[in-house]
Amino acid sequence: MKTLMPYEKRWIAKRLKIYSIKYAEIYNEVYDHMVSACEHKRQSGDNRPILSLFQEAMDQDIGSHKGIAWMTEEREALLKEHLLTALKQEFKSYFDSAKILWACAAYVAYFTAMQSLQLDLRWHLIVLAGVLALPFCYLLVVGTKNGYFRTITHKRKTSLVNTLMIRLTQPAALGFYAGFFSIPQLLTLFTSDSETGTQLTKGFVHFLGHPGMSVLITVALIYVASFVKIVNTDYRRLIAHV
Amino acid sequence: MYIEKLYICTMSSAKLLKGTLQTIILKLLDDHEKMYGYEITQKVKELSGGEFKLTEGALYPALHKLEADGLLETSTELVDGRIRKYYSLSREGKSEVKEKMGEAATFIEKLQLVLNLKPTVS
Repeated sequence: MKTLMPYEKRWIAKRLKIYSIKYAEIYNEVYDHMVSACEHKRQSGDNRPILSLFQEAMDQDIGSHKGIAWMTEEREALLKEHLLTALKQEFKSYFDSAKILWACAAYVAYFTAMQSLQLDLRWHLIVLAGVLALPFCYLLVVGTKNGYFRTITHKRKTSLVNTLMIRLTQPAALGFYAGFFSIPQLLTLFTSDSETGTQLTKGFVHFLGHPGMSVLITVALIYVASFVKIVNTDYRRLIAHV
Repeated sequence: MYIEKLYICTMSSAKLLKGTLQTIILKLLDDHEKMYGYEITQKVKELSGGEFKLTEGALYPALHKLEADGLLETSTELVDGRIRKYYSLSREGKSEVKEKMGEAATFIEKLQLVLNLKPTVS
């Protein structure tokens, strides 16, 4: 029974490049479909050249550029909705259950440490910025440890799940920087010189005071805990198929 | 003339198929433990005598939607050096099949009544 020659499979992989498939998840599925379809046609006695077999399967089954664009768009939207909903549900669950106590306990421990060290109120901001960066760092650690980020480091197709997870970490951190301070202003807080930082920064931090900063840090802690949960459940499950 | 008729028939089938695609996928996966994308298209074609063709990217968006809804589970295997994604029914999917099949049966029954498609003995 005739089947595809190795060079024909390589040709299919090369030919798929013109369709500019961005993500590994979609590429793997389309590539397997194309090879399976061409193999099946060849085994059924269709002796046309690979170009003809490929084009027929691509146009009829996948829908060419338009079909791939649609597939990418809907997959992106579905996954985004799924991950966002999971994150929101997890975030909300802290307020609906006794889990909030964990966040409060973490904050109390942090606050006690801050008081015993007698640090300036502005150090809260630095801690807050650090806490907001934690999801991103955790995702990188988990992804790198398990080789999930290989799609970025090995010039392969990037993973849609990885891309979406990185995007999910951004709103909180960006919102913080854009909403409160710019990065250069934050950096000035690391110096001991009391004259550093803008008047607006200082004014705002003092306006918030300990209660305001407490709320912000508690919310940030809950966000981190929710994100970690998603990374350890949904993310691990979804990325297993890349 | 024949080609034109055949084209119209294929177009109509495709439109009718669109609404029942999820039920077809669920039923196929109920009958088979796990299947991959191309296998599903071939099975649909085979069972319908070549009449139903899952064309222009209709299959994968439907599979992805069912997966996102939690009705399907996925697993991957390395087949001949390439990654193959298999779809199977989740626990929720298994109970959904019965419901969808019931809905389809009722719909077909009513459609037969409305369109008077039942064979009559004259």
